Amino acid sequence: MNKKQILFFFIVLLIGFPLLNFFVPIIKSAGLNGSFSIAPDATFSWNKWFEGTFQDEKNKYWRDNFGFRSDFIRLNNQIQYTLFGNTNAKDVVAGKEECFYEKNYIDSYLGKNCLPDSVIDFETRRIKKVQDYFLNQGKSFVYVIATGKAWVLPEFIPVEMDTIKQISSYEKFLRKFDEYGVKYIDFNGYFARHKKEFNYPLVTKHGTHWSSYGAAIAMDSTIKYLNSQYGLKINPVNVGCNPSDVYNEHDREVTMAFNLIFPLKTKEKTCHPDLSYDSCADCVKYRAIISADSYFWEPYGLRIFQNTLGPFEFWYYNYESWDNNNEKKPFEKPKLLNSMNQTDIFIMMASEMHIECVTGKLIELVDAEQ
Amino acid sequence: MVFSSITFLIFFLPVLLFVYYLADNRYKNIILLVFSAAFYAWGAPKFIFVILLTTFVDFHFVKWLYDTNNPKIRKLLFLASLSINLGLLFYFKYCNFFIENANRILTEAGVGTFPLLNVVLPIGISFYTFESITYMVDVYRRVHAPLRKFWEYQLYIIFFPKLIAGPIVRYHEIADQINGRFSNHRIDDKLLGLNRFCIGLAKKVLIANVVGKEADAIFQSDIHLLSSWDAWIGALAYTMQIYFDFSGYSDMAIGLARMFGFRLPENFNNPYISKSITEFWRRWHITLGSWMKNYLYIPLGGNKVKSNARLYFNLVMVFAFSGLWHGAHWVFIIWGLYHGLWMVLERLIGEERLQKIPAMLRIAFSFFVVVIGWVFFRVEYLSKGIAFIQKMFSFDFNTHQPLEKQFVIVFIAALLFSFSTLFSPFRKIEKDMYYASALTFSKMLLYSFAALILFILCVSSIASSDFNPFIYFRF
Repeated sequence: MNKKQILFFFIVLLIGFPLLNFFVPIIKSAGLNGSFSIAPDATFSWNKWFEGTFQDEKNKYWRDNFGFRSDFIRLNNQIQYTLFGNTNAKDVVAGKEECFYEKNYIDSYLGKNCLPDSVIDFETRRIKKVQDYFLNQGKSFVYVIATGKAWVLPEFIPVEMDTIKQISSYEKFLRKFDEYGVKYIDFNGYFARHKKEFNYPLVTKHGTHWSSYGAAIAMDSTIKYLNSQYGLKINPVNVGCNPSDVYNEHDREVTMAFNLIFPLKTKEKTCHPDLSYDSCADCVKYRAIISADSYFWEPYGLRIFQNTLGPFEFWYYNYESWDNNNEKKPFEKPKLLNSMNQTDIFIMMASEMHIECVTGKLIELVDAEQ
Repeated sequence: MVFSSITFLIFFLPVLLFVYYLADNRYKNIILLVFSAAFYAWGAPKFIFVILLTTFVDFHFVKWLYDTNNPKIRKLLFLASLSINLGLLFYFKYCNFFIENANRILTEAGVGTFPLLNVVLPIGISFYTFESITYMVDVYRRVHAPLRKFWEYQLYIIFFPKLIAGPIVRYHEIADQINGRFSNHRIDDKLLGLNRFCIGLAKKVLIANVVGKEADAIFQSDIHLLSSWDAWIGALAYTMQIYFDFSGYSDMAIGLARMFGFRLPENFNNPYISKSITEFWRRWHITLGSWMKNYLYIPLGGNKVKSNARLYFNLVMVFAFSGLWHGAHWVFIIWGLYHGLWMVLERLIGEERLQKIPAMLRIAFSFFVVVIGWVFFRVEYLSKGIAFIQKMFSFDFNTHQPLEKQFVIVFIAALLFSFSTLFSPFRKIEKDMYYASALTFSKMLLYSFAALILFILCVSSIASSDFNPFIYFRF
């Protein structure tokens, strides 16, 4: 073989390597982050062949599974980001100073997807009905309004989206909550107004929910609220801080989905919460239910309620149930009703954008009990 | 199956290269035929039978035509074969177009209408029908003897690199290569072919797809909401898209064929540096122009007609047919007529007078004419084309839609590439990469490395095209 033949052989080998790695995985690529589906393999039939559906399915299967796919995607994403500033994650908007938003948080802040007054009224009545149900049984109730990123960090909204702000669903809900006497803690407003008083970000530039630090602060305040409002004796949490120049995975959940070769670095000083609990002889481990959207995942991961409450259930959007041991339990009506009867505390929690989203199935349960 | 897909690049191509290069020369054509059939059947599983049947009939008609010396039978066989091919093309591609137009007239006249046919256009039918015609014409004219075996003819027709989108290979250009290419097939051909394929792939994936996205967005917008700026950006983006898409595909076809030892004719030669529309048609879709000239324009009388009026009529007719060949729609015919009329105008002005105009001015004007023509090619109906052009010349430059950074960079690069061969260093690079028969090892190493990088970038881009994850992966 002469030099050119070796060169050609080498190039063909390189071109064929992804195919080889597909059949015989010699090198394992790191997986991709984000929520996406992988096409299953196609099953052959002559009918499907002549209709072309087998080929379509096989094309998709090969596209989603060929060797080094994730490396190729990371390479493309890196080029797109470095050269053109493009991010390959669904509905993510690049704001100023490398602050990234999910578009619907900006829309919510600007009031672009504001619900009609009738819906706000209807949903508030339902929340109030849930509250009354638990309070009437002598249980504790609070609605926790979690942060919306655009509310806490409006200064980084990209210029092209920074239009005139109109009234939002959140603002309307606050008025209605006050009008109907819903018991709530508004972390969205509080974090937005007081963020400068904190040494570390309550919402990070690369995250979408509240930061780990912000989540810890919010849970600490929730416990204090329950203790003072209802005379409970929940063991408080001490929120300390390990300062860092590097975000933890939660605090860079948006940029992780960019799937870059070189993860984005931050100039923001961040805090990895250092949680501790004082020994407390007269504290009580109450049973609790937290009906929440995705904002509760970080407190759940930080194990704050696991350490301060008794057995609790996390009803994720009221279609999944997780216990305090990270186990997913069946979301079945008799069991849920039983839990509602046994619980001492009921917490509803949702971001300013999803306030109405955690009532749906809950109201059915309350109605079933009444 | 398209070249710019994971199925082709990662699965089909490596397997074919592996099998083809390991096989003995005796089996190489069979391997290419089997893979070509699989390539076509993958995208058009039902129509492979249409091709198999028509090629079977064509092959035997032409064989008979060649063997007989009776001029009447020869002519009869020729006409029969031509009718079958054109009939199929008409049935699949143009039947509904003519029915629709007839229905319009009948509706105006208050008479009933004909129902439309439920037909699907077989992929590549315009290309392989024209190639079938060249086979029968070349044999009929005794330019070249027919192929001895049916499977060799099959390979000529369904050879996958050029099956879907050309170049249109005239029979006599490739006839001797089918069995006689093995002794001349050198390693330089394989490497240069692979390089050419990668360049074509990059033209399609990295340039045409990017500018095409913007062109699509603008042409799909409500024209009334566009400014002149938007309209010009749309027209220019489409001008770049169609060139880099089509010439990229031709590069891929020529490169692939060269890797298997075939030399296909060139299809593009920097058309946007043309100094006239006449020159543009010598540089754009060269194989279609050549086909039209040899199999339509010359049979109509070509330049050797009695009057200028007839000459101009022939020219306009040929271009109208060229337009119709691109698609069964009036906008394509208008586009063809538009170019035909410019050709006539250039003939009326005369080459000598045109030469007196500075070259750069002629290039700019020809490009301008071509850009306007592409608007008709891109729109779905004539009135939209006229409205779009009116918008271009309404001189409303006050507002414009925001442009993505990627589009701006790629668009500027596309413009530069389109005109780069006006300058000699770029002509030299193009000569090395496109037309050289051999290169020194160091040059080959450099170009191959660049081609490999392009290949990786293209696969990355294709792999990512449908990957757009939600960020809620933890939830």
